[in-house]
Amino acid sequence: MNELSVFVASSLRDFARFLKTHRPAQAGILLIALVLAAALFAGWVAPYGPMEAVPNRFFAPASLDHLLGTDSQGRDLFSRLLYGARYTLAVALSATLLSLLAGSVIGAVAGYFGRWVDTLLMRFIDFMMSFPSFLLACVAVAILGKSLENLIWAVGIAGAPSFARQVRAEVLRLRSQEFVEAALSLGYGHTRILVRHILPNCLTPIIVLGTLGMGGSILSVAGLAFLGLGGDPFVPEWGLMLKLGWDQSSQGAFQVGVSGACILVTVLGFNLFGDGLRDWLDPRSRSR
Amino acid sequence: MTRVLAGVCACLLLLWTPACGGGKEITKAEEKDVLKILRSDKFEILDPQASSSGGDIAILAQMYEGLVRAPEIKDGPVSVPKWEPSLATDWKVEDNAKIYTFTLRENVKFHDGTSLNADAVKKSFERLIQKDHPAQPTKRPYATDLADIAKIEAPDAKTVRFTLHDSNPRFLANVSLHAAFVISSKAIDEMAKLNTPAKREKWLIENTSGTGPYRIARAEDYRGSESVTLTAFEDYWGGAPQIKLLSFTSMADHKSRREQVLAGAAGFTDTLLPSDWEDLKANKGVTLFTWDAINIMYLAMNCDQSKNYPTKDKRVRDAIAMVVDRTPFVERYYGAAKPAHVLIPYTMPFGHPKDYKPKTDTMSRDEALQTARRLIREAGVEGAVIKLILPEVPRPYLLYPRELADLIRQQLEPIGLKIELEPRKMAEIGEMVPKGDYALMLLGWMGDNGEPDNFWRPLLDGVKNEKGQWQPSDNNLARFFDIEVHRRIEEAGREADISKRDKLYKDLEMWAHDQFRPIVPLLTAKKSYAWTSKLKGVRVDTGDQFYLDKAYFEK
Repeated sequence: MNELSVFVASSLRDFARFLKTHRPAQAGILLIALVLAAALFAGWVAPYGPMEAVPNRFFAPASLDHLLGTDSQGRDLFSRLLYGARYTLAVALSATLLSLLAGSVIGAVAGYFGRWVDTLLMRFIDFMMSFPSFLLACVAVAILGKSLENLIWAVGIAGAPSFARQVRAEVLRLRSQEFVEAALSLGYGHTRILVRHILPNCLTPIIVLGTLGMGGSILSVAGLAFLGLGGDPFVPEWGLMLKLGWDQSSQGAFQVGVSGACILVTVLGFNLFGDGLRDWLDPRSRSR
Repeated sequence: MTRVLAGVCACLLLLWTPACGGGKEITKAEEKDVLKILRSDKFEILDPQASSSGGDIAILAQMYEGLVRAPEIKDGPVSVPKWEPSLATDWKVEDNAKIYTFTLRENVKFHDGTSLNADAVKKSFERLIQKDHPAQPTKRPYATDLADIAKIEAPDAKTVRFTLHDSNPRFLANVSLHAAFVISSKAIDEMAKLNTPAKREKWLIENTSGTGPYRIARAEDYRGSESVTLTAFEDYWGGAPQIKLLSFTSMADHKSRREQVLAGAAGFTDTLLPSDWEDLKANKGVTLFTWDAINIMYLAMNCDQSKNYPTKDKRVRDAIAMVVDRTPFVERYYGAAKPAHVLIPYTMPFGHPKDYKPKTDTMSRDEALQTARRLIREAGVEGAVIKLILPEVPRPYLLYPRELADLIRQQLEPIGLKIELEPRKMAEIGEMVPKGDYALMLLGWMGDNGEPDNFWRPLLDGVKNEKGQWQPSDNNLARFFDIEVHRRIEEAGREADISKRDKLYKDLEMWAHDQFRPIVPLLTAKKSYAWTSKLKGVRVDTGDQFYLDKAYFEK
């Protein structure tokens, strides 16, 4: 794997050079860093715990005690937003990883083995893609039950088909390359070729896809949570917080606004960064 | 391959099309006679004798009628109710309230075309009170309210005589219950031919068999628990209703309901958030109707000794009752709710001793916390994880189920109880209660007839099962039964003298909560309806039901 790490390191250097000229990607990285910092340091920065309630202080306005006021349950909104970053990122990341994993396995197997395996798997993927992925996720939650964990499964599964397609395309391209033929002629097993020779070469597009997918996952999770499919409404996940504010009378409007803004900023960050990554990889959009 | 696929797709499309075009199309000419009603609640059982949910009763009350009915409501606490004639025009109470003789209204027709007579009334009541009746409903939550009927006779076609086991001054109140709505004999015969209660229930939905101003005309007008269309019954004895179609839709989201009524897309809705009342009152296009309703929201604690829940220990129940703080609950209702410390709501006569609070409710906050912590330690349940069951959709007395349940969770945390919230559908809750597989439940009760008996008996009393053992009744959320409480409920119910009766109920309240603590009464909430101001002639009775038989749209 030594060649791989050398490759990664050189790619990173190349990317860093590219970044200096790409303003939107810089902005994206900044936003993601901000959200990541909130998630990582919530425990130190947040003045209150995410479930810690101040008795009988509902909808308190912003003050020094409560930077953004309190929510309908008397909990500090600012602290919850910070912890919310943790939950939101963790859920979206898990869902995206699940999509990537499932999509990569299906795509790689289909692309590598071809013939009836390819036909079977890809028709199944076509079938899945004929449903809007959001609807598919809704159905999945309806079957699995309402909870954040199930949202991960639902969004993860619903997102897998598009990854599978792209990974398959990449594997198809690599399949006919000389190094694969060389490995085959040396008598290596299919698993070894797939895992050690083909997949590492798919890594870059997978990372780009994953980054772009994160924004989508956050939106899907928030959307499903807003529809009331997120289970316990008091978990500080931004979609659930938005929903909780929405369910209150006009006093909940502020909570809707700030939770929505957090979602917006994060998705924007991931999309900008993902676009940057794509531009970097696409030879047409830049001169190497 | 492609062609086969195309063929399959075409077949699927063909199959799909008729499914879309089924329901009744409301034509343009009819549109002005349609009232679109949005309800916060779902309806699950449309058999008057089997239902105990407010969501069902609102629809049943349009289709069925009882012998007597509740009077129209006036805002403010209700006095001792005076019953009005409905299917009976007159009644006589004899032999120290042991014999009740009703004279029936003439020219009353059931939806199936048969006429109302004494035999029909007799048959309908028999289905409600007889065990193993051939047309038995799925359940009979109100059977106990009418269990004291010893004999029903029909001396002639227009007279029904009820002989009771013992004197019962509140029998009229029980006869006004929705469970005592009269179902046609033809329907009961038809249902007796079906072999399961579930089939009978379905049959009765498709073949509404009451005497009321509206009915479900066709099977496809009932589209599950979310939506149903009622058609005016042209042969209604009070005259055919002017509004020809009522379309009921269930919509839990209060914002959407409010917006639709404001925009004129719906004509009538219930349970509006008190925080919106001011705005609605100021709006000329909408009539807002609010009143002091007879209801109570409470936290039930499972007392079943055979189950292994921490709440079976009275010390735990006391501790919970001590630390529950009603202030934030009431606050969330913007002045539309008052805290409750006893079972009987302040909005109705009898009971609720003035300013009385059970011992657990009189301590200062700190004292309560300390005592509760000690009690929890003594009971050895520190750190116990307890499930709290709550309804998924708002109830008229419980406008924010999750939010208030979360407040309870917050309040119980400091004494070392970990609460997990578990929202359930109302139908599921209905099935859970008789089994008693839960520790805590946040729910409430809406009075049906302004009688304390209608609170004590279903909520904290029991019935004898087949083996002759007492067991809590089907709406007894706390799974509580005590023979002395039972005796005192009976005693108070039988007392004909109003002031003596009032004292008996007061004494019962002051004794039972301190002695057993099965529930924590939390609050009594005002209720609200809003309708387009073009709609006139809506009647709301003291049983919280609305009626539209005399309603019309102003030109």
